[in-house]
Amino acid sequence: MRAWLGCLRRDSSTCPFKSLYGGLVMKVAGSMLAVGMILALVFAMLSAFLIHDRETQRQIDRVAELLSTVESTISIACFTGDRALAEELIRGLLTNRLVAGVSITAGADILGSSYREGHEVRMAHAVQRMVTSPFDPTSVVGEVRLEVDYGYVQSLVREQVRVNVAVLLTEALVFGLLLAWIMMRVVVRPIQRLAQGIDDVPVGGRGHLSLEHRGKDELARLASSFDMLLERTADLLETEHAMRETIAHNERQLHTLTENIPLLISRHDRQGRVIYVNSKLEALLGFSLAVVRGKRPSDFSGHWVAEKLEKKIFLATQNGAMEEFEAEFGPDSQRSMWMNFQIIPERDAHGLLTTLLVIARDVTAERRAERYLIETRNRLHGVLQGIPDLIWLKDQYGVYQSCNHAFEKFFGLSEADVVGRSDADLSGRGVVDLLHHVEPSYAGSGSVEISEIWVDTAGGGRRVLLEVRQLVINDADGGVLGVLGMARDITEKRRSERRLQILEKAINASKDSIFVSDLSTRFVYVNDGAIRSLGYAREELMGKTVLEINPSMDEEKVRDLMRLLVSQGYLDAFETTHHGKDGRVVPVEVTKTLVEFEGESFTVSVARDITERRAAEERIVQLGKHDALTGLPNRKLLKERIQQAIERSHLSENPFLVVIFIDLDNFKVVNDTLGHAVGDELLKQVAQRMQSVLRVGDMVARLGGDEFVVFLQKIYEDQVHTLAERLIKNVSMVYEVDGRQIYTGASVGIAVYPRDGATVDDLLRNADTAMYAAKSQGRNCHRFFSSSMKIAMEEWAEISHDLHLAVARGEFEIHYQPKVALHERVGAGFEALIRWHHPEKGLVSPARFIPVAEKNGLIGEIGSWVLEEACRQVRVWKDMGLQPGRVAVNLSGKQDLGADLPVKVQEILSRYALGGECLELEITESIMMMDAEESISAFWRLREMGVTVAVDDFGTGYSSLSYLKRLPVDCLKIDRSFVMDIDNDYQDREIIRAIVAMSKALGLGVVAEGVETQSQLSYLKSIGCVEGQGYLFSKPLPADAATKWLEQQVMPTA
Amino acid sequence: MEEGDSVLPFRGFPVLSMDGVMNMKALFLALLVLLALGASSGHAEIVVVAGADNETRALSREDVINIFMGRYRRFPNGQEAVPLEREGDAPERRRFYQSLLNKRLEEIHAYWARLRFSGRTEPPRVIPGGRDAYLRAITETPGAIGYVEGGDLPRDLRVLLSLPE
Repeated sequence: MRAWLGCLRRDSSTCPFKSLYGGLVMKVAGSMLAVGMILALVFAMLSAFLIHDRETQRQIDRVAELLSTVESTISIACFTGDRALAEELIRGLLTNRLVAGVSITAGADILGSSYREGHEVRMAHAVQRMVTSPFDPTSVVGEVRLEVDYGYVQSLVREQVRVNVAVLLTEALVFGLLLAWIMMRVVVRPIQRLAQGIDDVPVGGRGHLSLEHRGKDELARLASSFDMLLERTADLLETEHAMRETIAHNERQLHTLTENIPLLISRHDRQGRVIYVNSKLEALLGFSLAVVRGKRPSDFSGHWVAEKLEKKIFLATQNGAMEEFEAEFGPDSQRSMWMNFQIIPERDAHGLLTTLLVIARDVTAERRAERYLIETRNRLHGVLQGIPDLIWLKDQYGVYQSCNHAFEKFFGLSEADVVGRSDADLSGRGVVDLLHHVEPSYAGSGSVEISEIWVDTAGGGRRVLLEVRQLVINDADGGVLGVLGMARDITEKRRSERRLQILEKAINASKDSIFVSDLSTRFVYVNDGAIRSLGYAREELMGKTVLEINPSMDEEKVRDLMRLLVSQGYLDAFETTHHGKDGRVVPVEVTKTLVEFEGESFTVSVARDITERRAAEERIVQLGKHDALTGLPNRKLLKERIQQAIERSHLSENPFLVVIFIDLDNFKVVNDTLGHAVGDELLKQVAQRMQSVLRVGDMVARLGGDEFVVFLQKIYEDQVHTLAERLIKNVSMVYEVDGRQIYTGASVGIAVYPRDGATVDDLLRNADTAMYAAKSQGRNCHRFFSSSMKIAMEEWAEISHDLHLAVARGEFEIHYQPKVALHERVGAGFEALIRWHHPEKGLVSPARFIPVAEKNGLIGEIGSWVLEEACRQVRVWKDMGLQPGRVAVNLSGKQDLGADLPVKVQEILSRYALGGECLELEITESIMMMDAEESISAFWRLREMGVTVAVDDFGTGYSSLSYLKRLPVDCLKIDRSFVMDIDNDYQDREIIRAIVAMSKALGLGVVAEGVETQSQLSYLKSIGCVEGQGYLFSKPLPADAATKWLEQQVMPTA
Repeated sequence: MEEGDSVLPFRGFPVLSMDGVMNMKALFLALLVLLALGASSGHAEIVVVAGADNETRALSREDVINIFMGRYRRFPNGQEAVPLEREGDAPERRRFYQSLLNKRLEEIHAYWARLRFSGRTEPPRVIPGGRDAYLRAITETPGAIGYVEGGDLPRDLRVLLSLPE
């Protein structure tokens, strides 16, 4: 290798190739020959051993094989015991040189045995075999034994070994020679050529050895490796050259740089001695490099910086790290100058610190700028810290750069905690998943993103609404520097806004109109209620004054109100009206309050729409003027209306006013017998029917009970007739109440203004009078008021007045009309009939005064008097020994028919020592049909006393026959109207007949009233009527005349 | 195969047709052939015989082998035994060696050839002529022993050993 490397070193003179390659071949071939021979010898000896035994065995095996070939014959020989055959066999075997002797035995019999001469018997080299029968391999018939000629075998083996060794040696020799020749040809020659090729390559040249040594063998590889080596070496040389050039160039450039850069540069050795200073420094120092080289800074400068520099150089040398310091030169901070010194250790290739480079730089401008920045920043910081809003600054990666005091306080973190972290780092510490949420899009630079978010404060508990403003901060090139965030706690603000909104909603929800105005009454706020109420848009209403919505006010009034308001702070509710946009008038109740706000006074007016209240009030008024049952106007309203009409009548072209007074016939009976509920319902239906008949504008009023008044205007008399008839007809139609059919009639009286009265009261009274006239003249008809009626009314009033006197003066008298048993023509009792002897008018008919008495309440008194007088007369008659029979006394429905009646009757009877059998009470059908339990039981009590009850005027009323059972009726008195027409009217006759038949059937007595003619009598008798009374028998007689009549009656019977 | 394939009853009817008769005849002939073969294969076994006057009543197979193959030429009682051989290629001779030694006649000839060439042992004497001459020689030669197909044997021969094949 050394030699070859020597060749690479272009030292061809020392190249030992020529002597080498022959030697190499000899060496290799010689060595190989020697080794080959030794190996051949060893192999030969080994094989001699191995071959010997193997060969011996092989020869013995050959003998065994020989034996096998004759075995079958031996078998036959032994089987047959044929000695001749055996001997023949032995001879044959002995012809083989290997066989030294043979012996064949059959059993104990030796068939043959023969040995070669001079042969020694060696048992180890014998082949002995049992011989079997040729026909039965299991049967042994003899034995054969062959002796091997061992000596001969040994000689054979030795011969074999000798030949083997000789062959081996020859092979080794030939192989070695051949190998040397091949080596010479295949290896040594090419190497020689290769070496020659390498020798031929010039220094730095590139070889093409591989071109000559193609193939895939090691030599080809070696050639290409040489080529590569030469290639690399050439490259290396080129590179080195280029590097040197570069270094030289760099050095020049560096020099230019160091000499021209505005830095002071020096290089020092480890002891601080100057090695180099650049020209700038030379200039500054005033020394050339040649002067300062090898000196320490302090050696040539007395400035303290020189000493400091030395110290720093020392430190840098010690620590091996860069040192840096700044020095300030100059009188004060405004004019001073800063130098920055950097001491940079320089190392050699082994990392050993060799020199130190000092770079000094004027940083005055930087320091000034920095100082300015710091001051500005501090000022700004002060501002930011002072601001109550949360302020933070994040870089473009979302990492906090700064935050202010408010931020710290809000999140309970110090700025140190926050700076350098992102929201993700801080999440879970209360911060601000929020800010994470509201991360701004960096796209829109310059715009502020505003968002709101609810956040829990650091302390917990309080939730705060933050208004977050984020602004992307750009650098000078428009790149994103970061985000400036500001957050303001607007919880309170939002809450108050909410409160305000709720308040406003509440105010707007109010139905009242609420106006807030300044002291000039100009509206500054109105609620929805006001807008709804007045129909203005809000904008229209704002700025209007009270006067514009309330024309009922004038400036004077407003001024007074405001004065009062300011002095007492409020105004009590007062009612006024507001006028809407569409002219609607809204009655309102207004309260005003003065409120002070920031030194200004405002009026708060609450106006309540009282339209409904007004309506309700009117309703109340109406209620006062209406009948609750039927809803019709009552007397008061009627009178108002008539009064109004009278007042205005002169304005009308038709000045006539008509008052129609309507009284229901039989209503009292209905009310008494069917109950008030039915009566009320009937009245309602009557009211409806009346209204249905009337024209619009006409009025029906109910005065009470069954009295109605219809008031008509603008109507003529003939129309009144028609209307009155229609009224009667409608009212008289059947009613259905509570499942019953009810009939009622109407009596109608009419008074016309101005003819029949100039005042309301006159008109009403006269209509009433006319109604009475109608009623008394047959009912279910109408009558106009007439002067005669007026007279009658006046007379009525007289009677009423005189009746009082009559009772006091005893102007009454009783006449007794006899009742007669028709068949016997004998008296059967009397009916007591009252007569009034008026001092001026003479005798007054009961038909004239009894209704008056019933009306003015004297009927009770009169009734009592009649009863007493009748009883007294009966006593008189009884004392005279006369038999008057029962005396019948009429009872009026208006009398008290309660429990007191039997008591009173008993008292009277007792007073005159009379029994009940003397007395009969006559009642009308209407009394009979009274449903009053008290009355019913009273009559039963009377019956117990023996007093009988007769139904007067039977057939004219609305009797239900069932009532005959409820009351203790004993007798029916057929009304005179039926009897009167017996001769003419078939129907009447039949009615009488029916009544009589019914009476009989019911076991009741029956009395025909008003019997005046003989024919009437005979008819009555013919149908079996028992009793009668009338002028045919006797007119009513004064007491003494009655006495006489009685006395006459007694005669015939006596 | 069409016939055989049929499974329909009326297709089986032609058994009684002309073809059917022919088939039956062939079957019958085959049976006859089989019977004849059986009879030939079942012909009488080879027996070893001696003259009726011979004292030996029976011999073992080994005795017969020893006598015929030249080992001992004496009966067990010491009387000299003279094995007689049939001439030529007689079926009985072949069958005898086949039955006795399971060897072909050619093997037997080879055996004797070796002995006759260089030894002194003689093979059995060959009796020229047919079966009758052979049998006569057995009866006439004292101590003779021979082989014959069993069955209808003359009275003057005694069977010493039967050799089942």
